[in-house]
Amino acid sequence: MAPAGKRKAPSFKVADKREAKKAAKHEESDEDRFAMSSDESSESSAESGQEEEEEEHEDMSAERASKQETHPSKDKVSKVTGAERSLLFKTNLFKLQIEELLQESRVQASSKATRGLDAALRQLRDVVVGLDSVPEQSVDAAVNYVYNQSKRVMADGRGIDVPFPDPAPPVGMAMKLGFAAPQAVHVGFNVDVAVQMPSELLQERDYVNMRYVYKRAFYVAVLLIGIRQSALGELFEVGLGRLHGDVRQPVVELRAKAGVKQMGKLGCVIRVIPTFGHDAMALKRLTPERNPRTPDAADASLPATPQYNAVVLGDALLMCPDQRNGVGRTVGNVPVCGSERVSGFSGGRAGPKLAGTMSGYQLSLLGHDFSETPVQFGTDADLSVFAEHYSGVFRTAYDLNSNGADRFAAVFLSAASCDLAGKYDHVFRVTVDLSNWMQARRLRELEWGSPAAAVQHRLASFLGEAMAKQARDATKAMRSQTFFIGVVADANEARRLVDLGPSPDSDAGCGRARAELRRFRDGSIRLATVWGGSGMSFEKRAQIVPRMVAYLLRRHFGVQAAGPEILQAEDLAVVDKNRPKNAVAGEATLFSLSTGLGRFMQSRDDDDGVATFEAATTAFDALQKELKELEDELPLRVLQLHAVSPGLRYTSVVPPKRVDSDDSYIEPQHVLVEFESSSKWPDDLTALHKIKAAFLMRLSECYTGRHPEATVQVGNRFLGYGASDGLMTGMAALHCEREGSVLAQKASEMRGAKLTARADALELAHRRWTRNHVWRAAHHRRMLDLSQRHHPALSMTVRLLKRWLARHMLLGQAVGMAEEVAELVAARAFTDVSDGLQPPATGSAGFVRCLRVLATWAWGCRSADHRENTDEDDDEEPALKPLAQGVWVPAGMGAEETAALQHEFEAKKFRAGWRVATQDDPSGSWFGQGSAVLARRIAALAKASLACVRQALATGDPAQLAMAFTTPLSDYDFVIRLDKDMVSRRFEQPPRDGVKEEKEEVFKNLKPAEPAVHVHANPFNQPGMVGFDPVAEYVRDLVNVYHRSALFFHDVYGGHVIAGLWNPAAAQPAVLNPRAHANAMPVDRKQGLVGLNKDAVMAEIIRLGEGLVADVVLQQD
Amino acid sequence: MKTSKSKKSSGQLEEIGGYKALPVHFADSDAPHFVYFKAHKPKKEDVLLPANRTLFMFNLPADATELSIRRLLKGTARVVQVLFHDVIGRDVIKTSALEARLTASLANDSKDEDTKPVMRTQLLGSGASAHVVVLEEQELANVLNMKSARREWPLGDPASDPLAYHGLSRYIYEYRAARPPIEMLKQDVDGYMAKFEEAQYERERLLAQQRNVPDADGFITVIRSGRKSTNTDGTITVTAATANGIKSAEAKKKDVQFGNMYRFQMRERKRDQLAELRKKFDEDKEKIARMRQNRHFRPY
Repeated sequence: MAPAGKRKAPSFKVADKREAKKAAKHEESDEDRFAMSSDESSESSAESGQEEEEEEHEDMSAERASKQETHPSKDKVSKVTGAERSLLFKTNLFKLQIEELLQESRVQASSKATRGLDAALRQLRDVVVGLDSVPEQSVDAAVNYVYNQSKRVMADGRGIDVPFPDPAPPVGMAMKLGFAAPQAVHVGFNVDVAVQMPSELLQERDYVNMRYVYKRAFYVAVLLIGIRQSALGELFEVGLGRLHGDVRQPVVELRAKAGVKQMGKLGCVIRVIPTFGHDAMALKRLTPERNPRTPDAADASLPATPQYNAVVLGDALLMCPDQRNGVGRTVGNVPVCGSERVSGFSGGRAGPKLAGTMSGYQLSLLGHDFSETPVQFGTDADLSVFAEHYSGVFRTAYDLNSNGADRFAAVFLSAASCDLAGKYDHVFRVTVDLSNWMQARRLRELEWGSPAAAVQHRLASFLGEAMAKQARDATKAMRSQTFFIGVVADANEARRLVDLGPSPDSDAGCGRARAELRRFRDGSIRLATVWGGSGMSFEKRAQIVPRMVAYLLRRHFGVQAAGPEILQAEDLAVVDKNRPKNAVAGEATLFSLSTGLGRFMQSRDDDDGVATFEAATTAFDALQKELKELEDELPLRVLQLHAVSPGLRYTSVVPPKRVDSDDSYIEPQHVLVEFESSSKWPDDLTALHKIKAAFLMRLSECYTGRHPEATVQVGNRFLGYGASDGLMTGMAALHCEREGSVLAQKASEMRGAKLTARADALELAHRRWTRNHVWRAAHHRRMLDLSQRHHPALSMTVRLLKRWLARHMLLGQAVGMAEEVAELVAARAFTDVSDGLQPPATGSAGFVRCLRVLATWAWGCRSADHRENTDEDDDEEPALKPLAQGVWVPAGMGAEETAALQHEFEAKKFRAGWRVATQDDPSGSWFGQGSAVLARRIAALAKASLACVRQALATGDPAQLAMAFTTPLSDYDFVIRLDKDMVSRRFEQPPRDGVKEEKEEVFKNLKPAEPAVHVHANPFNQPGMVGFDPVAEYVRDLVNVYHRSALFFHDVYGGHVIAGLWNPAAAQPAVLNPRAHANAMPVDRKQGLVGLNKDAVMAEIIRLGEGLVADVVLQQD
Repeated sequence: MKTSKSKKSSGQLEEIGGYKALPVHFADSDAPHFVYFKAHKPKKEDVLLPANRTLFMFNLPADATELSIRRLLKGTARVVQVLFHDVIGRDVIKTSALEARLTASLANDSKDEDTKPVMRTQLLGSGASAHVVVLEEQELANVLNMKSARREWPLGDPASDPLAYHGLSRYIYEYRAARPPIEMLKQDVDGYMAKFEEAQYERERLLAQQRNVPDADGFITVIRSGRKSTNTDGTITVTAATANGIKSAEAKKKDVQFGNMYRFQMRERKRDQLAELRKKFDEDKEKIARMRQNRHFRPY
């Protein structure tokens, strides 16, 4: 690939009238255009929004007026001429978008914007071509020459050395270094200037012993001096740089001096890169399997040096002779997208041989799966050789057309490479002291261009080998001394408790000290590492891969964990014993993102993460069996139990607790009992409810008759239920088809009789009934299926997302997102794979992807800044584009079906609020829609949290992760602090750091079987209050009472504050109105205006929360 | 409060927007809460709300009860009954507040009322309103001419009245109330079902009596029977159409479509397709223009 030049500011092209208007504005503020641009964009988008609306209206009327016009008459059809016709039939949105992107990102040659650059380049060319030759001389002489010459021209009067790579040429090396004016100066792509070294300076076998690299270094040094001496030295800072950070490839860099307007708005860097003609060296010797650095290449024992070969060839490639129109444009496109996507790309390089007539968008190969069928430029290379020697062949395929959705922005416009956390399942940050590496290995004789690259290679190849089964792909990015290791885990393999090694008589294997010999059922005896017992919880299993990485890194690279220890006691016991001989010692630390985030799934009374969901699900199955056995004693047969509770589908933050534990708070697990249908249910709703109650009573009688040890409570509408083994607490409500149909029928009758208020109420009741009895059950089945059969990591993703939402007080209750909606958003990270990534295999990766979706989702076309200023009231909110893709792919949805669904959804044109649509629920109305306030808050918080996560990864500081889960209280109008002792769910908060007590080292047989979940008695001195959460009731009451005047936020998982915001509309003085539903006090008696009586409201809030509220803080007036 | 002096001298309550504003104080706070009221002027005659004895009050505290309003007006007026609006969690399906009272007071038959195991606590929405009926016309005038003075809002006594529970004690009470002893629940359900079946039987008996009996003009009324969609006079059964059924049948009629029988139809369809294509192209172009305007195409 061609080195991607930075293109900072694309050319400015006046495209249409609106653009022209903007352009005029730009002319005024030419100087600080970049400072202005952010304000302006919001301004102009606001403008455009208005215009759009107007246009829409116009369109509507125009359409109505000229209905015939839209149907072209016969001669009009025939008049559609060639060019237009081809546009009509061949077009799609993608083509238009590509054209537009190219136009914007391509620097227009000889346009106004490039005038300064053109002049500079011309000058540069003249200078370079006019440089005097330096006669060929020995290495020492050359070094002296450069030093003396540069002394004269450098500003500080100090000379520079020839930028040789680290093993500098040996003193007596038989090589002459010289300089002559370049044969050609080629301004190819961007502002990288390729200068062709004259062929006389090179010899055919200059690839040997790095001679080319040394000659190139000297050439660059002389170029630097020459340019510095010329007039260009006045205008530019002239210095040395490295291509790709590679010490073997120094270049001359020209940066515009501060205050010099020479480069105009482009503000780019000109890099002068030496290259050579194709005839100067025997390039055939540089195929990847060869080692041309030593003279006797025939010696097969020497390792191949593909990286070195690629460097030399890469220089030659800069003189690519034919850059035809189409190719040129696409190459222009590849840097745009390539520089955002590809971190360490070193693929096969050969001259392009493509049809010159292809248009730009045909050449965009990004939809291509490079790993399956590599694209071959030219015919004479053997691709398998390339595949063997270069690990980083394009792996990511972007499917632009998947789902029929518009993926353009995701693929071309958003920067993806910086988001390691979302891309890989496990991300580790390793800090390595590079000095050890420099001395120890000499970069394997410069096969790798920089120490960082060498360490990177070593880490990657080592881990890739050791964990071939668990990880599909270990890819890495690097930044000076810090390495990021990303692992894409194989969802099935990564959870295995026993990792099979080689048979004991072979030498390979990395975890030998940890491994033990085991004999397996098939008779084989192999080394195996065992990572846990069979009772290991799901969440613990997810930590196996980080443990393996931590173990291997510590053992072989001496890497210690920063922050909480990842390794378990049994790993620590062996990790430092008998370290292998080739292990590297030194200062190095490791930070694992998935482990860091995983802590937030745990709760305060379960900081080991030992509680599991399995107990509850087995108890549920047992209950189902037990109820079916009661068949003869009941008037109607029990058909089925429908679970509807998150605890029974692995998605509650805290796994269900035992009902007999009498804990502070026990979440009831809701279950619906479905009886066989009967025609005898009455039509009268009250009677129906009474009969349901009678049924439940009968059920409880029968059940306690059979299982006398069970405790069963019966309420009016539900059955409180403690299963026989005390494992599960269920609230069984009766599912009765009849009730729904009665409600629906009555509603339609009322509607027919024009009794709107009644009909509304009945419809609402019907909706509520359907939600509780039909939709919740359907949702439960889907989620369970998805997480049990397809994506085991979904559970952890949901739990993290729910925790995050709750910590920011945005889950459930008033302004929050419904739990089910949160689950759907999490599911989207797994089902929507159109961004070319694997579905995440860990909770942390899924969580980060969810955050990314929430942060970047385009809520309508208006910019976020614009919306921030509008009124908080929902009704006045502009229409928001809803979150549309909670669509289930694994359930057999094809691309067309998804597209149809999407289309259907968009056709409905919902206004205000945002929704999550699914296959079953295409309008996204099952679980209600979020308000605009919620959308805004979530987007802002997700953005901030994402930044925290990235920061944590960049700095390796776990405190940053805690920041992502901490919500600022300062921007709320008032804060109600609750009495902490009365918050019955307070133990569901995430564990505090450092509180976890250190366990003593004990003998295995003395250890208690498993660490247990702590139990706290409830604070109300009344045992057996299952599901009693007074704070939730209080918040519900507050929301109901003050729904017109304030919004309330609360962390449902035991938060001890309730934060509130006044509704600005209600706070305005207004005429007294009995229907305002806000606590009013006179403010302006002359005009009869009243305002919100905030003091009285506060007093009332304290009164209503007697026994719960500690104090109330008014933060803003 | 700067404007409080304006009408203080008269001793009357100040009036705002046609309402009297009555400031009340709560024991633990200095900030007054304002209750607004005026005489109720019904548009049409109402048995429940007699025109000259009814007061319309609003902006009541959220925890107001009938008892507290009685006590507030003690010495000024005797309250007959209070009809609250905006009660939170009231079962809207059953009836509105007014109708509930109406049926209850008309029937005046305590047997028929839903015998609930326990009293429910109630909470009003902020700024809630109520109609208050007083005993005599003179008392209404008394209320409207109330003098301004510092008044305490009478909170109930939690020891005797569960409706006066607040906060935690209220939630515990409700939690317990929702889970009554099984005997109590059983009694309630059985009692109701007995009555319900009796009423059902009575109704069926009455209907059966009417069947096939001509009225004074000699017509026989056809009555819907059972939940099947059939009407019967006892001997002859006819299938009945519901109002909704007719509507949907009409809608179906309109859906009939014509096929591609004639050449002109095919031509027209092709033309439509082309128009569609063109429209889509235009839409795409517009989309691009919009994206351009939002600086979508400038990644850096």
